[in-house]
Amino acid sequence: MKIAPTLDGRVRVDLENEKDIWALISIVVDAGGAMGPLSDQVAGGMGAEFAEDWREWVVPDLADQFRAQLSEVAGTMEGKAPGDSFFIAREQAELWYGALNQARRALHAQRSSSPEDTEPDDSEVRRARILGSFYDRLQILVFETLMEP
Amino acid sequence: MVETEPISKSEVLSDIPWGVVVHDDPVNLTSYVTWVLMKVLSHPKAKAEALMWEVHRLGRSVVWTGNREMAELYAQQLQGYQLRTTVEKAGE
Repeated sequence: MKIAPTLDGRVRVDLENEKDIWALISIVVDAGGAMGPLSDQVAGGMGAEFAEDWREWVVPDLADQFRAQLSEVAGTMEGKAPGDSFFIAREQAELWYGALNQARRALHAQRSSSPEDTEPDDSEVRRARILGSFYDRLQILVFETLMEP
Repeated sequence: MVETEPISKSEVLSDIPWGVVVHDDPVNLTSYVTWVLMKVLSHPKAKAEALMWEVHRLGRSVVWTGNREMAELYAQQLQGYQLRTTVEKAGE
């Protein structure tokens, strides 16, 4: 996979093989496998006097917002094949950033809950480490190229 | 002498400013937290960075204080950017 900023202020992604497609679809898969809804995690500390309103009005909106981030990535990747390219524009940057953040959160939560005696060459651990590093780099590129002033 | 109306305890409490508190988490990038504080709260970069470091070092920071309605609005927006955020009475 080749990912690079373009002169017109977008990020271009060239998909070279099936693994590239798998890595990007994994953003949605990993985020979807999070332990508990993200909306509850970010809003869960609201005090008792807010809790009911928050549960009724805010948390559903947050859940919609977070779903939209994953839908953006899933929609972009739909039908993609090796040799295809796509662009991430400024208007899509926050959605991509948010989806990557969800995936990173989910992997972090998995790592935190794994027993300490997990073998370092365990395939799931290796997968999480490789994808986590990929998500980090793509997220930083999206942020620095498309979001930061 | 000018007569004044007695003020009830609830009226006094409603005047207490509310604080929007951002809590540390191990995932969000420091530069992103600064960016969100600038975008949502219109803080200048230096102030946003100082607050971000406070979150990072102390585990939490009151990033805005004011009336309850605005505090709730800001908290919702910050949560939308995946920052763990709460609202509490300032000074608590």
